[in-house]
Amino acid sequence: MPLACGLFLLTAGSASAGLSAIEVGVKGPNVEGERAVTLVNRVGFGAAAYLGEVATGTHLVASLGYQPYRLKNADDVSLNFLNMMAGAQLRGGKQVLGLAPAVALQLGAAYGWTSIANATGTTLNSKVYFTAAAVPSLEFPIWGSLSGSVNLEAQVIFNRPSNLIVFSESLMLRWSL
Amino acid sequence: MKKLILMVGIAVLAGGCGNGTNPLDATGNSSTTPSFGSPVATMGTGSLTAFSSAAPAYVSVNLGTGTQNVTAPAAGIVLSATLSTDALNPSGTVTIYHNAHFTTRLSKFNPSITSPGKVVAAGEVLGTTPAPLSWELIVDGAAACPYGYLSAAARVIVDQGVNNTRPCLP
Repeated sequence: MPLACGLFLLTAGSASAGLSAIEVGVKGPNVEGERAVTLVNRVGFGAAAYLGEVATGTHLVASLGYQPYRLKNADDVSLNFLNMMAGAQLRGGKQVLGLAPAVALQLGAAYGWTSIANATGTTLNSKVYFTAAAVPSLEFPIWGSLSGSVNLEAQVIFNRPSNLIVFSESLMLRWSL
Repeated sequence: MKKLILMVGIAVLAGGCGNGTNPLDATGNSSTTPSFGSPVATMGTGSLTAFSSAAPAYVSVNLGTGTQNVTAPAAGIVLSATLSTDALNPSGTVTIYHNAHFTTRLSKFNPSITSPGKVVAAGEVLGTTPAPLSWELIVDGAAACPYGYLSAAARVIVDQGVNNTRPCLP
């Protein structure tokens, strides 16, 4: 595995100390701008690990997500991203009806590659991009230490000459440890 | 926290893992119409002819005779490549995805490109042909006459075809 990709997995691994919550869920992306003409949105998957409170209301978070897209007019071709990010989540102090608002800011890398279904000897085109995301969320209780959260994520994958901008809605299942 | 930020920073600065071409570039810019070159250097006795088959209808461009290189008319991703088993009467096909609107299928030649997913540049050699070459241009899923999308230089080449017929020519 190339150096940069490996380092990001180490980054995620470093969050295991003092783990306070983990969450998994599905994501529905909406590509913005000119890329919306080229890319067809598909359901993605995400997971996140939270460290305990490092400052008042602030938790460290490391996240891993897989987001595929299909290329318009090329049904067999997919553009895939593996997002590896870390950052901080600021949780609101007051709760109304058990609902807890929060916002996370994350930086990291997105490993992107193309793949073609039913092709043998496929040449893999891939690259690591710098990426940043802001994730406002609303957490709601389900049962015991289990809760859910609805996230509205804005992510930029930086690329020249044009960035990939994606707004996503995600539904996550969160288990507080 | 410092450790986290440091590791993220190192990873971003060390970025560069990956192979081949930037996949975001390879998906094409759909806000622009590619300027297509000619897939061959000379037309010879070739012709630009429109005809339709049962399904799907398509436009074929007979680009002449004589062994010559076949090149990518515009940049894109190779979607499929079928090699030919007969060098004299080649049946190979290469399909190139240019962007969300434009796809090219070149057939009846000997492809040297074998890898779907490979990103090709405009003018990159795809193979050779000792016989007429067919070029189908698909725009938004429908066959289209390539002539209207050719660059000025490519039109000079295609105009050499002695058997050019309408309605593909303007």
